[in-house]
Amino acid sequence: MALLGSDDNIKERWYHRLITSVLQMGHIPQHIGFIMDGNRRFARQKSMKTIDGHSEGFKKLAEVLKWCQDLNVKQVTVYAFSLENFKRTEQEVGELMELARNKFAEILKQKHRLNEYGVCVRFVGDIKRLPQDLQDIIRDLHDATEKNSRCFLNVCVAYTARHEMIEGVKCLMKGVYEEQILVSDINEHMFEQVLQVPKVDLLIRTSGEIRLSDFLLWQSSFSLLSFVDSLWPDLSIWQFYLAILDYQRAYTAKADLEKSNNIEANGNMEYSSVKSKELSHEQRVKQFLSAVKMKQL
Amino acid sequence: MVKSYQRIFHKILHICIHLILAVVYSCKSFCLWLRNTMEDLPWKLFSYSTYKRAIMDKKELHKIPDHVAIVLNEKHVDYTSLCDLSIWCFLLGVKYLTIADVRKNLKSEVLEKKLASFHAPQLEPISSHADYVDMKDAGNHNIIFTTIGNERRKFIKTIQHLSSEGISEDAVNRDVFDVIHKQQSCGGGIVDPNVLISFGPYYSLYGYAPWDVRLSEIFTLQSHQNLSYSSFIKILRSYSRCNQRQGK
Repeated sequence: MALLGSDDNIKERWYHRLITSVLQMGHIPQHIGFIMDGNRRFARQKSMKTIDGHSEGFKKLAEVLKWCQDLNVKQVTVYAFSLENFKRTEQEVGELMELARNKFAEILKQKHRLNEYGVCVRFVGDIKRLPQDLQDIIRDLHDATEKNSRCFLNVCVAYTARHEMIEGVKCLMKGVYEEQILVSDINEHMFEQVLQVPKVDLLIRTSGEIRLSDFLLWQSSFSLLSFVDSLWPDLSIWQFYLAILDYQRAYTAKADLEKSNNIEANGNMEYSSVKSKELSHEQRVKQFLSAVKMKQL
Repeated sequence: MVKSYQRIFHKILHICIHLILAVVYSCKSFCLWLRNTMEDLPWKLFSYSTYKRAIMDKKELHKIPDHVAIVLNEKHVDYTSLCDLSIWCFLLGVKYLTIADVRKNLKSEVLEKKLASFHAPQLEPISSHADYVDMKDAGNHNIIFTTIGNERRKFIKTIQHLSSEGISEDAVNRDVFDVIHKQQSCGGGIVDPNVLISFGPYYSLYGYAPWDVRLSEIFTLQSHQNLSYSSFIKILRSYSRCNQRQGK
């Protein structure tokens, strides 16, 4: 059963079910990021209007989410709209906002399906840059699914990684200013916790471009990267399976590297000594991060 | 009972698929090596030096990166290849070359001696201190040696610096942070890498400087051992052809 859109559009063959079962014999990435690039080029190739290309891109998103759901991927993050995309023509931005309005409203109508599957939909980015009615739909969609925790769909809208990182930096600066934490408490682990999206295991970008374009820069630092030549609406399930197989091949080396980086980054720091009436480093950090998580929700 | 047989069958199939994939990738690597060797052969047969090739290629490239970053995630360091790579970069007009060592195997003084032995007069000796190398500008060419840990620590130190200075968080934005972060770098004022080449078992940044790689074109080669000029110039040609739309 599809989470988004109609089941008719997503045909499942017996060999898809077999390969899904076979892939689950190995490690499955818990968090996959997608840079959905190539909708406009797809529209040009098929002699469609640009907005129709984006619409095809949304259909592909629904299909890809089904593939991830079948593999029990816990979290998916998609790069829907960048802050840099506001530089496009007013007409295209307007059409994209309209498409987002319609699609998110459609998803909101099917919130029972999302709740049935335990999907929590979160929106990450500078949401205030979006039109007010779109902000309202986003808030309603978030509120309708916030109690779900089986899997997470993070939609990056009006987003850049640097903007997200700066918000994290400001959060930590505020914590120090308000004496909730000390400067010496700030380390990589803490910075990761104040970001809105957790670290990514596998990052897939379509259309043949081989850069991150300001998407999840910190979170995908140790990820396996998979740059696929196909345009987003043309992404095939076989290319997706290959990315999962590549992840499984790289898993052990990747896990070792992340472990050694964690020890180096967070294990060797000397924290301020404990005075009897003051909180210890662990207590300060725990309190501060709880407050940050509450604010993010 | 049926389920456990099914599970065993899936497990065997899983192993077979991975074995087939390993063979396919090995063949692909071999074909790539063969292609690069065949491309280098005519130049070697006619004793055409890499120096002359680089000068010719420099004229043909529409766009040359100002900063190339190399991320090394291999057990053994091939200093000769790194030396070649440094000189190719400089011949082609790359201003900054960063060599980021993931496993902390690289000894910068060994590379320094090798560079001197190549009789490259345009490169001055480079002195090293702990994990960092103090750069000396030699005809506008600079090599920076670093480790992954250092790059990530630099970012955290920038946050700590901003927090301890009592600067208002409203005064901090992407541009302000970028300027302060770059001031922390060795030498200061270095542009973000335009090209990043990672050498390792899989396609990844291996933790390299997250803030800096926003628009870097990311390439991967399995190994830097016996690195050929052909494989390097292909990367620069790809970079030269790429079109960054920057959101538009």
